[in-house]
Amino acid sequence: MERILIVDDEIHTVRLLQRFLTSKGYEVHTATDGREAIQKVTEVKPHVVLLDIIMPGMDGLDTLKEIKKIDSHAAIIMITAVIDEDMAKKAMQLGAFDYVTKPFDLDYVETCVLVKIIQVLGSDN
Amino acid sequence: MAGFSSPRGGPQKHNIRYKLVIVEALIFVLPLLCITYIIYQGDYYLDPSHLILFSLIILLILGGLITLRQIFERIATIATSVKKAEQGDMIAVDIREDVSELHDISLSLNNLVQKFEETTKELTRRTFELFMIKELTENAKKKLSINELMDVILEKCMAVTGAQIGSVFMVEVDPRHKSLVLKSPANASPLTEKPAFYRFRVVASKGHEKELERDSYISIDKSLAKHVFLEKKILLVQDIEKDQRTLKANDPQYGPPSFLSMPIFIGRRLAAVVNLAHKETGQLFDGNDEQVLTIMLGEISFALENAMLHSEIDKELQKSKTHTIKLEQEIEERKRVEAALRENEKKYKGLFNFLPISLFEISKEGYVITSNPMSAKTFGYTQEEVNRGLNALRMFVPEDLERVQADIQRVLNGEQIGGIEYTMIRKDGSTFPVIIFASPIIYGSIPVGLRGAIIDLTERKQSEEHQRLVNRILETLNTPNEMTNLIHKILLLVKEHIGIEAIGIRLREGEDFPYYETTGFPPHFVEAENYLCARDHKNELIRDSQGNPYLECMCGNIICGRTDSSLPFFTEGGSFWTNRTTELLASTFEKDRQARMRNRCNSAGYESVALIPLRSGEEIIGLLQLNDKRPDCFTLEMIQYFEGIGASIGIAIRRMRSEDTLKESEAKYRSLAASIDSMYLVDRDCTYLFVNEGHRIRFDLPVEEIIGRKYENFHSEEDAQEFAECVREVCKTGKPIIREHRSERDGRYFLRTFSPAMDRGAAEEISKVVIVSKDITDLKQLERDLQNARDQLFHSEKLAAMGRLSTGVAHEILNPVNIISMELQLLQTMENLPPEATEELAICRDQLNRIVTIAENLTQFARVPTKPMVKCDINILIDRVLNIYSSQLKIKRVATVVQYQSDLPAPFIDTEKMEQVIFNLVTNAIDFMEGKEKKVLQITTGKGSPDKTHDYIKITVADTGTGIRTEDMPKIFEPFFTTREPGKGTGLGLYISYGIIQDHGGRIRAENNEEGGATFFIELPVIRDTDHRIAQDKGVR
Repeated sequence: MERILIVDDEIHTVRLLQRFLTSKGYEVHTATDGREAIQKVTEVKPHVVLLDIIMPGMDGLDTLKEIKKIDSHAAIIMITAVIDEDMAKKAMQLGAFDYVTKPFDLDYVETCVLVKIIQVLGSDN
Repeated sequence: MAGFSSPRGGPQKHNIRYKLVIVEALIFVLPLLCITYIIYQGDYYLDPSHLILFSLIILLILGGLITLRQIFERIATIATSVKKAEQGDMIAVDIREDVSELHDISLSLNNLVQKFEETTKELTRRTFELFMIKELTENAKKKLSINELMDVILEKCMAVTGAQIGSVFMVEVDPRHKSLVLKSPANASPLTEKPAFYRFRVVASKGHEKELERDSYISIDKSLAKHVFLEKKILLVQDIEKDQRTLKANDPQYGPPSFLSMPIFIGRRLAAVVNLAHKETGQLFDGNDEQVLTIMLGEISFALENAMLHSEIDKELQKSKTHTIKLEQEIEERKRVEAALRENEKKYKGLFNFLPISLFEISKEGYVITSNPMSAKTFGYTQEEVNRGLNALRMFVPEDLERVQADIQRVLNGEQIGGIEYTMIRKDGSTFPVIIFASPIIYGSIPVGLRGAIIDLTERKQSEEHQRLVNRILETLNTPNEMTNLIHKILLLVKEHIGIEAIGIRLREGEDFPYYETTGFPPHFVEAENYLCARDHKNELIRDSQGNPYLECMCGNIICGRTDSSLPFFTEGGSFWTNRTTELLASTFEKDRQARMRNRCNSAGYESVALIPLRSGEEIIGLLQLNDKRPDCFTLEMIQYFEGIGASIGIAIRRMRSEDTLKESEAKYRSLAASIDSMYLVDRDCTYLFVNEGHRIRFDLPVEEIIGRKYENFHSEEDAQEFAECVREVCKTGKPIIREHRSERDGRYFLRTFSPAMDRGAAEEISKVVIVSKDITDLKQLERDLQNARDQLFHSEKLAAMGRLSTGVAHEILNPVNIISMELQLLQTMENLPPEATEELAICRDQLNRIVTIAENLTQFARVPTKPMVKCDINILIDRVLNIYSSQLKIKRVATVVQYQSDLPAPFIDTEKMEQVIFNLVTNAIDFMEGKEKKVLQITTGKGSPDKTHDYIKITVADTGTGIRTEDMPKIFEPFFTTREPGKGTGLGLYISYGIIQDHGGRIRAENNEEGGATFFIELPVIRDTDHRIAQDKGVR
């Protein structure tokens, strides 16, 4: 089963995404800040990380860099507000796979994840 | 008497003939005898008694003749009857012959008598004329005054010729030409005989309707007597109207047109002219008149001469009379003087001995007879030597000797000669100029020697010479010239005058007194001695306790006034002088010399040195230095004399320097006055006393029309009141006040400074106020612009803050929106939802999307541009936007006017965002023109005004819409500000545009058009060409 880690400080966002993705048949893990996210990446080795950029404490970009250090294969999809696209683009340069904007179009989120997973799995094969 | 009886003698024919011869003889001889007697009797001139006798005789003759004629007529009658008798009765035929003879005789007698009658008449006339001449000469003898004589001449001439009108003109030299005529060597030269140089003076006139005024003048040229004057002979005119010389209409008052003008000569000179006219008989003047008058005037010419002589004598007499009176006075005076002289003789003797003038008496040969002690002293002789005998001629320089001897002779001859200058020799051989006054010593009417005084002119000559120099210096000083020139000239003058080798002038320059000008000093001397200030080893000026620089050497002494007149080499006038510097240095101490000496004058070989202060009042402003290698060039007098000159030079230099300063300050003032917009002077009543050109131009009136009129004459009452208050206040407090003033004339702003004018009235009150008015309109504009910029800055800051805020807000909103959105999506995926719910959920999602759009727009403002800036032709960009709009513009019937400047530099821009800005502005324009009749969208591009770092391009977007309400103007760029109906606009378009332009470093602003609608101005920076920038940089540095 494909493991997905959702990192967001907004618990409702986490909960809803978890509900959605679980319903789509993924193994979903969650974290609400950067430190927890890094810990979870180490523990569960997720295939895809949905990472919010704006978070209190360690923000999404710093977390991105740390995750990349631990697991360079992890596909990281940045979660960003519509208004913060610039930051998302920056994240892409840092190694993020893609980004999705709030408010989410859940179908799009799933597609992104799916595409990534197929890629990851494909490369694994 | 015998003749009367003879016809009665007898009838015999021989007897009758004989008697006839006797009668004839009697008639002829008697008068002849009478006249002969008269002439023989006395002198040539007839006296009245003789004349009576003469007339009586003539009467007797006439009586005799008439009787004789009667007798003969009778005889003739008899003879006729006898002839008849002969024809008839033949009586006395023998006497027929006798009778016929008798008849012949009778006829010849008749003839004779007739002739005699004529002769007698002529004789009578001649006698009358003679009588007149006689009378005239008689009168002439008595009359000594010319005027009286002329009266008589005229009277007689008129009587003789029977003229009823007559006048006499004297010929005189016209005083205006007196010099010319008298200077002329010959009186008769044609030049001086011009009528214009002479004139007629009326001395007598008779018979005129209006008498000619005696002593009135008549121009010769205008008078008919001109011809007499010119031709020097009688002018006899028969008919004035026909005569070639006159050709003049006859004046009826002069009777017949004939007149006669007679010249009267004295010697050869034409003295007068007698004019006669209007013969009583109505006859014309003839040769007879001419003849008589010639004789008559010839007769009296002696009398005229006498009269002239007499008048001259009279004059001389008058002169000699006054002379005599003077002489008498003089004699009296002389007598008094003599008396006084006698009295004073003793005193004079004393004087003779003690007078400081050389007095002498010498013999004709020049030996000194007497001399006073002063003479001996002057010439350096002892009294003994004088007494031993000296020859004065040896005391003159040889070159004067000849002149002296000649002059002695002249004096001896009694000639009056004043003081004469000579050069004399003293005993020691030195010469000196003198002036000698001498007079002869007369002993018994024979000159035996000379007496006189010798005045030594040495001093006078010297002072004359000095005065001449002073005059020339003063003259030079007062000639307008460059100071350097003047000083140079003065130095040359002084040098030339006293023959001193080297001369210099020091003048103050800063704290030192370097040479201003020198002549004769070697250059190295001037260089070494140029500065006087003492300096320490650090080359700093050494100063005294008062902080004044210490000036070295003797020059320093003189300039600082460190002199001690008790020492021989200082004068009371503060000068220094010595004739031997070597001796001076050896014989004096440092203390006496007042200051450290540099000894350069002495070491340069100058023995004679004089330093004279140049003073202007009390202050010493410089120094005149005279140096000469020869010793003994100066005397104290000379130094004192130069002190005087020094003062003149000092004053002149001071004056020139102050003139220079004045000129400088004048120039400063002028430039100041020129830089001042307006300056004017008013008195307490606000009457203009002065306006400068700048202010006059504001009035646009000639100065005369401003001066003397009041402020209120040119300004409104309110304005004038305010002005008057200011003037009053300044007058009262004496302190300047500054007021801002807006001109009613052109709305410009002025900063007026009211200051009390310097000169105060007698009452120590300020009576005048100077107003300097500075145009601050531009300053005001600048201030306004600054305020605007400040406002704009504030505005943009405000907007930026708003942007930051709204970004945060948007963020906060988007999170819950995201959650709601996800919930909705999840709900939508639920199965078995009633159809209404699905619909409702879709609406919810739409509305959520609206929220997201707003949030998105809000955050755009503060967003850092991420797209790379590209160089872009702004015109093409605008065209692209308009293309998108073209169909909509057509539908909305908006006319689009585009004016592009083609050669604009391309700015670096984010094209997408810039398109959005244009898009926003065009959308607004179209929206706000909705419903307007005239819909014009005008877009222009062009160059903007550059600032220090950038050039700008300018884009304007103008519409003819509703425009922007004034109160809205500050808010239009704020977020959510909209005048559109709710829902129709977010109020973020301009807000976003503003952000974009700001991100590009540009500016955006809006203005309402006068004719309606609004215009938006965008300015975007463009980077200057490199060359341009370099040039600019250089220009700045």
